[in-house]
Formats: sequence, structure tokens, C-alpha cells
Amino acid sequence: MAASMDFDFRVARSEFRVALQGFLPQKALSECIPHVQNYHGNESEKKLALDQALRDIVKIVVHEDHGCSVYRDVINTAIEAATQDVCSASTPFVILSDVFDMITLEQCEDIFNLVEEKVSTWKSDTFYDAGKNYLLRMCNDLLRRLSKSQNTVFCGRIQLFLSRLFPLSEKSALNLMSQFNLDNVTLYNTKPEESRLRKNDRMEFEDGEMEEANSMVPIDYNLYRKFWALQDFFRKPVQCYEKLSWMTFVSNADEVLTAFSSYKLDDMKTSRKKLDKSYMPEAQTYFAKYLTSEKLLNLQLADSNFRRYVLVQFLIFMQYLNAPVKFKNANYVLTEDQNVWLKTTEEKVYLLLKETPPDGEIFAKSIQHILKREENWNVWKNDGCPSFERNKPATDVHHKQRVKRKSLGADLMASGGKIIKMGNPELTRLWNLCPDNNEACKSEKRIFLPTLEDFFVDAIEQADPEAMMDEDLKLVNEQVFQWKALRLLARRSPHFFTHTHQPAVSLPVYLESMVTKLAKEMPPPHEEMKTDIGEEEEIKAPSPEEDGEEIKNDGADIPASTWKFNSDFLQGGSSDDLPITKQQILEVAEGLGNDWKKLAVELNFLDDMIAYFDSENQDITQKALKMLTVWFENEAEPATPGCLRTALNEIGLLELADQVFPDADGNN
Amino acid sequence: MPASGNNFLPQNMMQQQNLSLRQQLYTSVYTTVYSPCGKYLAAGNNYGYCAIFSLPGSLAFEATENSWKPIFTFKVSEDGPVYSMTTTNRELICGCSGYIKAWLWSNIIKRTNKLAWSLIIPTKSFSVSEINSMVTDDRDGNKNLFAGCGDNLIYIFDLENSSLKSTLSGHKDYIHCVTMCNTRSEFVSASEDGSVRIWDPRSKNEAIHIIEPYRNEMCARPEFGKWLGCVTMDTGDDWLVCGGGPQLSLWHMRSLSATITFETPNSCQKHALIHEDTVLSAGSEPYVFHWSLNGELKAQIPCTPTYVYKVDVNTTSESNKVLCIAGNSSKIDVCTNFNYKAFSLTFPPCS
Repeated sequence: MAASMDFDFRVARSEFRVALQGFLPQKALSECIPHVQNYHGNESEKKLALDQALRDIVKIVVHEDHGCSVYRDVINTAIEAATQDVCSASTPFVILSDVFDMITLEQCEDIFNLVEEKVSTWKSDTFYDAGKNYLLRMCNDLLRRLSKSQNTVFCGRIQLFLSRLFPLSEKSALNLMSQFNLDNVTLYNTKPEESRLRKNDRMEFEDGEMEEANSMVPIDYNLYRKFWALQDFFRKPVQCYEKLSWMTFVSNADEVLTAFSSYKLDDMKTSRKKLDKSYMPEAQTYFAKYLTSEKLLNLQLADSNFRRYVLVQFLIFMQYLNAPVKFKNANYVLTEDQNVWLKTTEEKVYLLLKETPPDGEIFAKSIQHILKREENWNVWKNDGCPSFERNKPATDVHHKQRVKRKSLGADLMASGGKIIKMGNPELTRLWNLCPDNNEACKSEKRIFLPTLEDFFVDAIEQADPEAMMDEDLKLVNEQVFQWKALRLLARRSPHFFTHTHQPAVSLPVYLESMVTKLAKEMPPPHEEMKTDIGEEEEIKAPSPEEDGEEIKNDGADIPASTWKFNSDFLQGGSSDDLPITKQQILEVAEGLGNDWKKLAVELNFLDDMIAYFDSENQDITQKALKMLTVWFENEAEPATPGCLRTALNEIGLLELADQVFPDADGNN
Repeated sequence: MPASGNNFLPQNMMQQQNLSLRQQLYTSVYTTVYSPCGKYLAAGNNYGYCAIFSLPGSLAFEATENSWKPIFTFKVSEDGPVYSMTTTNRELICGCSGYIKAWLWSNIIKRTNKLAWSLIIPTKSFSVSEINSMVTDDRDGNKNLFAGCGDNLIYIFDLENSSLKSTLSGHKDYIHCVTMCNTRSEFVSASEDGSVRIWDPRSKNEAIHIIEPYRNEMCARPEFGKWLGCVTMDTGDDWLVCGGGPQLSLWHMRSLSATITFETPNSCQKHALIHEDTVLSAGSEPYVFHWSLNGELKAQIPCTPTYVYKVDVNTTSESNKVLCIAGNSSKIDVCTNFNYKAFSLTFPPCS
């Protein structure tokens, strides 16, 4: 605390000031910041001293009228000092308002450039909270000094700055209650005495000469009054919900619009064409208030800008009358007639806007667009001005929106069971079998493994010594059965992969033992079956590969029962139809003769396939057989006698069908 | 006790009311003229009445419906409408059927109905000829009155001694319009026979030029007939505008050729005048057309009458410089700014 005891505020302040003043001529005030930092004393006390010193400097420079660049330097220094925490954060703002309070409006406009440039600085964490109120107050003070009609551009700049400074959700400048600016009264001569009085006043100043000038042109006071009376309705639209004022408004508005529509302004264009083109780019003019002298009325009627102002006022006003506004009195509702009038008048106004040169069409369209947007703001206000900032859940939405890759199956499912053409008839058939791949895999039909019981039922019966089965005829000695049995056991039986000390036995013996085991596990009605293991014939177990190839290569050698199995597997054991046997196919092939091509067509073979069958063999029966075999193999599912029978029937070979499938009638 | 309020009125009062209502409905104002001071407007209607309106009064700030009524009404003709009106420096002259009557403006302003003088058109037959158009010429110390009449003749009166100076013949049908040249002593007439004749009052009985727009392919409109309702001259007398059945057209006086037509496809023009560089015309449509001299339609101002007989600009008084539109209505439209109708003066029924 010893340091702070040494610190003398007045000494520090003057020392800082002298230091700052020293840097003034070089316009490098910020150089003194290190000097302050090195100065002995408590940080907070130094801060206060510098704050004061900076204000002193401002006073000096403004007093000596150093010019804007110096003020700028002082302000910049204050900002820098505040960012380095050498002076308090509010100092730049205090200095700003000091400067603005003391300099002329012309200089203000210059310095305001700096204020605008530093928007991001003001919005930074260091300054925003400390300075926002200072800035607002400063801007409002400035606005109060400015003339609304003379300094329109500067006023606009200040407003823009404020809207940039404050966040969008800042509602301090918002007209929350939708109040009207009732102070905006448009004065005009309502009483004859008034206008006469004015005339007299002028006459006093300028003698009788003025009188003639005064009455130079005839004035339509009727329109004049009605015209300016409208402004009062525009100022306070709620008047229109009273019956009497509504009537006045309607008559006034009708009169004014009739005058407008009669007084077309299109001759402007031709007169302008005659004049130089250089006249074309008109300077933007803005007046905050109307000039309401009766002598101007004729000129105003001829002025397209003026007409636009008034017509746009009409539109804004009419929009309000019908708009649902939260703070509007509940009984402020228009009647049917009033609505009809509003609608027709609105159309009239838009028509007039379109007719008003230059570029009336575009202007009318823009106004329409702007008013449309106004409706959105209105809705926003009615909803209690919800924040514009989006909340976090927005990111989830983003995730969901990520494009999903579509699967063809989804398309098929979406089609709701209708067949979708895939371009190729075979593809179409395959895709339409079952649109949902998952469902198709789970399907009952896909379970090709028979249960142990079903598969071994014959073998168990045969294993029963009581059956007195011939050893050679036993299924267990059959190669195909052996192979299939082993595979099935591997999948289904818990006994297959048991650890055993026994040396490997021959396959039939092993199978016999397994069959006995199964028979034991199987529930009654069957009694326990016993097998003579020793009596089984030794047969080398063929390798599954060999067997598979055998089937593929030489289908004709496989016993008919294999077909049955095949078919059983494919049908999942659910079909009542008897499978077609090889024999039957042979019979059909023989019976077909030259009609095999017809049948091929009936069985959905394409022309090129038929030609292929045709070219493959010389003998007609062979061709037919080939065709039928291919059909049988491909047409896995519906390859029942019924199908073939129907096909035969279609081509008029019913006798053949009846002959080959005598017992299929009942099924179909 | 009367049964109801309506029956309380005596029969003849009811009739009176009905009559005046109907009269109002059927009123046509054939002619209007401004007073030489420019403060009054005189209008003559089909019932033979003349009404005087005060322009400053109707244009005043405090003007109401009431100030748009005549300040003075008087009967001009006992047996027919007032067809035409013109004015001298002192008198208001009204043309009726067969006779011309004049009132002093000074008396009119005092609202006293005191006839100044009257003239009778000499008739050769038993029929009386209406005076369709009159124009005065007070230049060069003359005080002449030209009257275009229904008997195809133009009478020239000397107003100094109220004598008939001469009678000009040549038109083969009745005369619609007579107008003076502005710089020369010549005058122009337009007639139902489809011709415009340019006369020199000194060369007595012969028209010096004849224009026949119905023979000109630019302006001929056989479907509307060949009659000419209006003729007017520009201030330099270089151009003449005439129209009617044929299209309203601009004629070059030296070459006597039509140069421009002002196209009104749906109507015939009954009155035309050249005001500054604008041609104003109106006729069988409820519009007043503003044309530039190159034939371009500048504006088309809606007005109350559906058939316009007279369009007139008050040029003598700047402060009352209005455009009045009279036609087949009891309303006379007044335009302060020529581009829209400001209000209407009302010619009330008189009896």
C-alpha cells in the first residue's frame, strides 16, 4: 500500500496531460501509453488519472480548434488505452460525447465517420456494455441538434449506425404498441379567415403588387381542402372506424383519386423527350413534410413524385385498416361495404401508380413487394417479436436433411405392390418377387434345411430291426443320403461335434448310430429302434464336391427321388402339388412334337432362347426336353404339374396333359 | 287531417316539383360566354334562359354547393332555346330563333333585367331561322356582328346603328359555326353542307376560299356524315382546325391542305379551340380532348355532359382563368387546372 500512499491524483493527472500534450504535435498520442504504464502507482488510480487527463486534452484541443484529425487521434488513443486496460472502458465514449457536444455539425459529420468505422470495436466485449448507453445518448443528442428536413442524410447515417450497433433483437427502438405518430400534423388552410389573413399580412409587406400575384391562378379550394384533409386520416387511421369520419374519408379519397386519374401525367414523357436527355437522371429529393400552400396545388398535381408519395400513403393506410394488428381495438373491424370499397380503391391506386411516369410499372411492383414484406413484420410483431436467433436444434435438422441413398427396393415398396419395369423381363420378374430384401431373406421359403425328424424318418424306420429291411436297400447306404445326412447333422444335431475317443468308423455305421440316437430322442409314437451296426455295408463316403458335380453334370442320371428332394427344398415343403418327375417331363417332351415351340412361348421363353433350343438339337423331342428342363430349373417355384398342365391346356394339348398328369385335375 | 304528408301538398305544387325536376334533367346548355372583365360566366339553355355565374365567388376558398349556382337568371327567349352568345365590351348578345337580343353587362351585374336592344333576322319565308353562331368584330373602329343562321345565310350587322350591313350566301345547308380571323378582317364559317368557307366582308357575296374536308381522304368519315360542327383559327391565322362528321383536322391556310388529323374514332367534335399550343376539342363523348399541334393526344379529361356543345377558356382574367365545359346537362364543368374537373356550376330549372 506504500505505492498508493505516494500516488497523488493531481500530480499524476497533470503529468499525464503534459505527456499527452507533448505527443500532440506529432499526432502520436498513443505513444504515451507505455509512459503511463511505467508510471508508479495503483492501476485503478492511474486509470482514473488518465481518464481525466484525456478529457483535459479534449478540452484543450477543441478549445484551440485543432481540427478533426486531432480529435480523431485523441479518440483513437482513448480506445487503445482502454483496450490495454490503462484507462476505463467508458472513457472513449465520454470523450466522444464531449467532442460531439463541442464541435460544429459540419465537424460532427466528419467525426461520425470514425464512429461508423469503429462499429466492430464498439460491439466488442470490452466496450459494448460500457458504451452502448453513451453511444445511444450521444446519437440522440446529435439527432436532436439536426434538422429533420435539412440534414436528412446525416440523420439517416445516425439511424443506420444505431441499427448496426444494437443487435437485431434489441427492442428499445421498436414501436411495440403500434402507436401512431400523432404529432405529425399536416397544417393547411382550413378557414377562409386564415387564408385571407395571410393575404393581408403579405399585402402589408409588399403592397398591392402581391395581391395580383396572389390571385394569379384560380385555385380549386374544394380539392385543396379534401386533399389535405386526407393527411389527418393517414396520421391517425383509427379515425376511419368511426362511421362519420369514414364517410368523409371516402368522399375525399374518391375526389382526389378521380382528379389524379383525370390528370394523367403521361405528357411529361413527351416533353422530356423534347428536352435534353441529360435532364433524365433526377436528383433524389426528400422532404420530411408536405408544403401545403394552396398555390402549390396545381404544381403538386403535376408532380409525379408528389403523386407517388400520396398514393403510397394511401396503400400503407389501407393496408393498416385490414391488417390484423395486435394492439388494435377489437371493434376496429371494417364492414363488408367498406372492404369492397377498400379493394376497389386499392386497385385504382395501383393502376394510378402504374400510370405515373417514369417507370410506373416497376415502381408499383416494388411497392407491392415492400408492402408484402410489411405483412411479415406485422405477423412478427403480433407473435410478440420472437427472437431471430436460431436455437441449437437447428443442427439436428441439418443431420436429418443429409441425403439418404435410395435403394431400389425402397422404390419398389413405395410403388405399393405394383410391378415396376426394370427394362429386362427377367430382371423385372426377379425384382418383383419380393420387393423387400430383408423380408425375402426371412421368408419361410428360404428355409431349405429340413428338420432332423423329417429327413431321418425313413432311415429310423429302416433302422428298426423289426422292419426287416434289406441292408443294401437301406437309405444309410445310399451315397447321396449319406452326404446330405452328414451336412444336416452338422447343422442341426448336437451330437455331431461331440468329442469322441472312438476311432473313426465307416459312414453307414456312424449314420446308423446317429439314427438310433435320434430315434431315442424322438418322442413316441415310435418305439425305440435298434440297429445292427455291424451289418451295415461299408461304402466309401463320396466327397461332397464330387457329388455336387455329379448332380450338375449329369442330371439325367440322378434318381427321380432327387428331384423330389430338390423340389421339396425349393417349395419349403409347403406346397400340396406333387413335383414334376423326370419321367413326366420326358413324356411331355415326347408328346409335344412340333408344338414344343408353342409351349415354349407359353412358358415365357423369349425368341432368342427358343432359337437356341432349336439350334442345339436335331431331334424335336430332344429340343422339347431341353426346353422343359431349362424351364424346370429356372422356374423354381411354380414348377408343378399344375403349371405345365395349364400351359399345355393353353396351347390345346389337353389330352397330353391328362395323359401325363392324370391326378393333377384335383389340384388345379 | 291529411292522411299522409305527401298528400298534403296541393296537386299543382306536386306537378311543379316534378316538372322542375324533369326540367333540370333535360336541361342542355348550348352556349356560354365570359364577361369582358372575366369575372362572370353567362350560359344559355334550351329553355331560353340565361344564367350568370360569378367566377370569383365559385372559386373562393369558402365556396360551397350554393356558390356554384347562378347569381342571376333571366328569360331571353319566349319561344325557343338560346342558341348562341357573344359579347362586346359592353353588351351580352344572345342569339335565339329569328332575333338577337342584347343586355348591358353593367345592368346584368346589378341584377336588373333591362333589355338593351334587339334585332330581327329578316325572313323571306314564314319559317324563322335560328342563330347558331355569332361573333363580333370590334377592330379597326368597326362594330360588326356576324351571325351564322339556320337559313344557310350569314348576316352582318353594324352594331353602331343596328342596321343589317350585308347578307352572305353560299352555304347549301345551315351554318354551325362562325369564327373570326385574328389578324385579318376575314372570317370563317362551317356548315352542315360539309364546307368551310372563308369570307372577306368587303368582297360581298362570294366566299374567297372553300374547304371541303369530307372530300379529303385523310379526314373523311362517311359513316358520320359530311357536316362540320366547329371551326377555329390559330392566333397567327396560319392554321385552321375544323371537324364534325369528318375527323377533326388541322389545315394549312396558305395551301388550304389538311396536314394533321386529331383522331377520335368514337365521336364527332362539336367544339374546338386553340389555346396556346394546345387544341381543345369536345363533342359526342363525355371527354375534353387535349391535342398537341402535331396530332398527339395529350390528355382526355372526363366531364359531366355526355355531349359537349361548348368548351371555353377564360382568357381575359388571369385569376379566373378556368376552362368551362357545357353540354347536354344542367351542370357546367369548371376546370381550374385544365386536366381535371374541379367542380360543376349548376343551371337550375327556371319558371
